[in-house]
Amino acid sequence: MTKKMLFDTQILTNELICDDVYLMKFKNEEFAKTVRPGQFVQVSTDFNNQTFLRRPISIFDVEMENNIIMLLYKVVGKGTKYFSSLKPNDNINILGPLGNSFSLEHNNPLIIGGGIGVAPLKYLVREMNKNNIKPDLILGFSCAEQAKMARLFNDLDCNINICTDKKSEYFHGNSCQLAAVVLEDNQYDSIYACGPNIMLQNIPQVSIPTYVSLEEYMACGVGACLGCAVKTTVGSYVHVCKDGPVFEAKGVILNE
Amino acid sequence: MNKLKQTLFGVDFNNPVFSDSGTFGYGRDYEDFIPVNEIGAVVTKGTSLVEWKGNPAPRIYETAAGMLNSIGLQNPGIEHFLLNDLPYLIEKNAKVILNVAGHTAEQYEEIVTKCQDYTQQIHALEINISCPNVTEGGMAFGTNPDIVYELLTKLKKVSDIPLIAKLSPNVTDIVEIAKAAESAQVDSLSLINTLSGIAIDIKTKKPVLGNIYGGLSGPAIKPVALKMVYQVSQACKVPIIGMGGIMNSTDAIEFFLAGASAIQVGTAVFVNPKVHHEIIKGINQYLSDNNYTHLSDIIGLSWKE
Repeated sequence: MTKKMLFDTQILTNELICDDVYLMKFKNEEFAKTVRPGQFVQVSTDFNNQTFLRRPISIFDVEMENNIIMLLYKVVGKGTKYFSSLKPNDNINILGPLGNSFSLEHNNPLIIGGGIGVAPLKYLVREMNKNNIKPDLILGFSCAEQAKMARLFNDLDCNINICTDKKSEYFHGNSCQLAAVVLEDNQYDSIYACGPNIMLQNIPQVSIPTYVSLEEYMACGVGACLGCAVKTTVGSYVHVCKDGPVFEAKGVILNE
Repeated sequence: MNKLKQTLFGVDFNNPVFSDSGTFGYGRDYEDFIPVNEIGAVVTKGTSLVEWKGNPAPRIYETAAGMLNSIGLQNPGIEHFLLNDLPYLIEKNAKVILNVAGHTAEQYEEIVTKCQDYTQQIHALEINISCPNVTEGGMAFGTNPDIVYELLTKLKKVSDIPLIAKLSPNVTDIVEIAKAAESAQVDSLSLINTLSGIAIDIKTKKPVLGNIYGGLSGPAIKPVALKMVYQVSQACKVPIIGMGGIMNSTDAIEFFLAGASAIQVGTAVFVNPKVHHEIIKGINQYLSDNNYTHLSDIIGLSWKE
């Protein structure tokens, strides 16, 4: 397990990407050197804002040469609303890197992201590129505005297929529908997915290893409070923060 | 001189700042930030006779200045603790307080009995008669003074390890419960456990938590906890371990002034994994600034003549 760090850092940028999605950057050399794709951080919130628990945010990307870490997040409640109000040079406190990471052992993966669920996938693709793997991506969004997030993947070596629930210039349908089409025409050795629970439940059933990155309300982020529970197919509970966030889909029940 | 050294029920604690059951696992989860020998004692996750799987998700929900949890005492069971976690805590030189949970009086008794082979390694047993998140046992044992007396008397008979009764705030009169526990000869009382609560999702129109009800912790409950420590410490002679919403050293000092001899810090560690250190430092600073030679000088000052 990677050693967990706790540090204050200044925000470098906190940029609006599309209607309610922001990209936050900060710098930390030791963190950049240790973090693995799929991991997350717990970001401090502001007590004056009636929030006090940290919020778990995926690592979106790491710019190795400058030790810059990027977090992509969507405003969904008070905590993320607070994050969106932060300006360059404002301080945040970071706990991390936390959780397990994506397996990098497959050569021909299909990667599926839905909405803000694309957040942990960019750094995954970047690490795959280092191993000379050019994955196929399906990035599904509610509408063309949200699909602006996909532009952030343009500096990677991968084939991006975009779809939207509302009619747009892209494939009309959700990411699972597009995945079904793509899976018919191609042979993959694995699937990696992150997105809303309903999407993860509807990923086409195939015999190849399927990894899902999960989200759950979280308090500690380090395995102590046992709050972020997910039921396994054998009836026990595992925890997103420590046993995950990445699980093999066949091992967890997504609709308990 | 160590101004914070506390001797309670015959055990020497380096400082009076303990972890709080259910927020600290068995000590390993925060080892990158808090070496377990640097806090006064590690109070473990509530531990049952066999593995408990816990409640359905979601188990956590943040509320105004607080959080609801309905973990349901998920834990690997006493044998697993004795085999895998106690050796770690011994190796790291921690003071160990095992939180004990049961569905029945017999289960509590069996766990306490199993611990008697470790009288030098387990420094106290905190009897959880106050968990609001399990359907049998837990709080059901802690809300009736006769049942409290009966259970604790039974456990006291089989234990050479000091017993702490952890009390529930979900009662009409906590002093009555505290006196019942004290008359059963327990060595200490810890209070308070979480306050029973609920949150409802206005989109689904249903309770948020998988277990419907949860226990409220965090800064929101501090005034309630402080009042109960203030009342119980005046009514009972045994040392009181205070907890409930302690976020910083100011909160901690309030608990000592209210009559606590030690404190537990729980929910705050989720926000600040180094909070125990900061509280220890802050208490020391307060004692120095006010020319007190020892922590015991301020215990109960809010009500003492």
